[in-house]
Amino acid sequence: MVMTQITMGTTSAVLSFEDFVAARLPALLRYATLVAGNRHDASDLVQSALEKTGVRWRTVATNGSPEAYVRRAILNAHISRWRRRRREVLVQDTPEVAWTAPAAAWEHGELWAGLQQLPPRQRAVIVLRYYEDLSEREIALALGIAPGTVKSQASKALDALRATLTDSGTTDSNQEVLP
Amino acid sequence: MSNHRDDDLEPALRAMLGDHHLDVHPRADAVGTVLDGVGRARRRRNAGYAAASTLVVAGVIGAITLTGGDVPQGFDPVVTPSVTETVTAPTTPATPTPPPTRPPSSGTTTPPTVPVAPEVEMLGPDGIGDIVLGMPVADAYGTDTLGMYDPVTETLMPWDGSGAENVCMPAGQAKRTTPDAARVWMDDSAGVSEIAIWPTISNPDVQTVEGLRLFDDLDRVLELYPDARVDDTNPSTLRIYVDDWGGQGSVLTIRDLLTGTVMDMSVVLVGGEGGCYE
Repeated sequence: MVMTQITMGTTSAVLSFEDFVAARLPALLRYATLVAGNRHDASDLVQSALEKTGVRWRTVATNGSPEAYVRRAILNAHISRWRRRRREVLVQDTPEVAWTAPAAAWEHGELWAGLQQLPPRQRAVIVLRYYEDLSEREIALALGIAPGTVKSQASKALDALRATLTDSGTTDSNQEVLP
Repeated sequence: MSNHRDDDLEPALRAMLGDHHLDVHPRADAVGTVLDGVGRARRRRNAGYAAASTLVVAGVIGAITLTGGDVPQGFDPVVTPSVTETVTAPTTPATPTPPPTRPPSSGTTTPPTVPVAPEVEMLGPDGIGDIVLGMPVADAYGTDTLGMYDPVTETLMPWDGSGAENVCMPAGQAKRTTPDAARVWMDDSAGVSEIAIWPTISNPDVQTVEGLRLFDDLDRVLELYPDARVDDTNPSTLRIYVDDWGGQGSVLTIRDLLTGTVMDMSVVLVGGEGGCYE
């Protein structure tokens, strides 16, 4: 085991892949859950991304930020899956299955439910903006879309979320909801 | 990012996305599962390298044979697969390119022909280049026009040998691209099931056989496909479908026209999807 300090995507020493996975797996799963909207897909996305990363670990670990690499792989896999599902809508109407968070009273339940109802790309924009704190330009690069599209997608997403909260009778998140 | 800063939605989003209720606790054996998967991926990659090495050796021997050189002892001359090159014909089934005929002996060595890349690659009702919808996965690889798509760098990599067995993994699809042209989805049962191009990966010199290119505007789309089916039911996009494109039973989908320009084009075979898709 190599002792090393792991921060968001940086390593201060040569880190074994096993140590990296053990240390960062919860955070990666959480990120993938936010991006994908459900834990089942998130698990698949993380497994796939880590497999790709693991086979080229030496290069990834020494040349850059391993966690950023994995997160990017997760995001790209999610976008690819989204594109696949868009195509599926063409031939058969198969709505994306929503994920229900573990039952517990949760102050953000309405907002979470609204996030799940967003189209995948809008959801990704919101997660990258408000969870990853990326700029419009960084989001555009990450998603392979124009900055203007990021802006419009974010605006639509926020409008939709706002409408969700309005429909539920609140714009504040202090009520208890079963997520 | 937004003009809507007159409420507390954005702070609420940050609070929600950072809330500990969304923490995910991996199973106890999760790390082992990941490591097992990496081990399998390494073995597939190594097998791919071995196969690729065999092809390279065969290619070298074939080239030596064709140019009249001596073949090292211990090797049998092998017919080489077609070299990697972009092909413009949109409907040609995948067949190995025959090696060039050796000219009659003249006592001189003919310099090898340098392939010239075509300027425009055609996306047609049954495929792009040598890649044809419905083509078995092995045949698609056999065209020697597919590369590994790196999800991180968005660059093309040599095929890493991960192979057809991956294409049905529930986590994703086969992601292979023809060089600078298109992304190809395949699976074992349906073969090549979708070919798509969009700006982040594609060569802008790809066009449909009717002449539609990425970034063309809506008027151009309707001019080329006046009978196309318009789907404006999705508030975030506008799609146009050309059903039974070219009478081939495939569908051309032109996407994201709400932006005013063509941002994505793909061709799929209706009913051609395999069992691995949901």
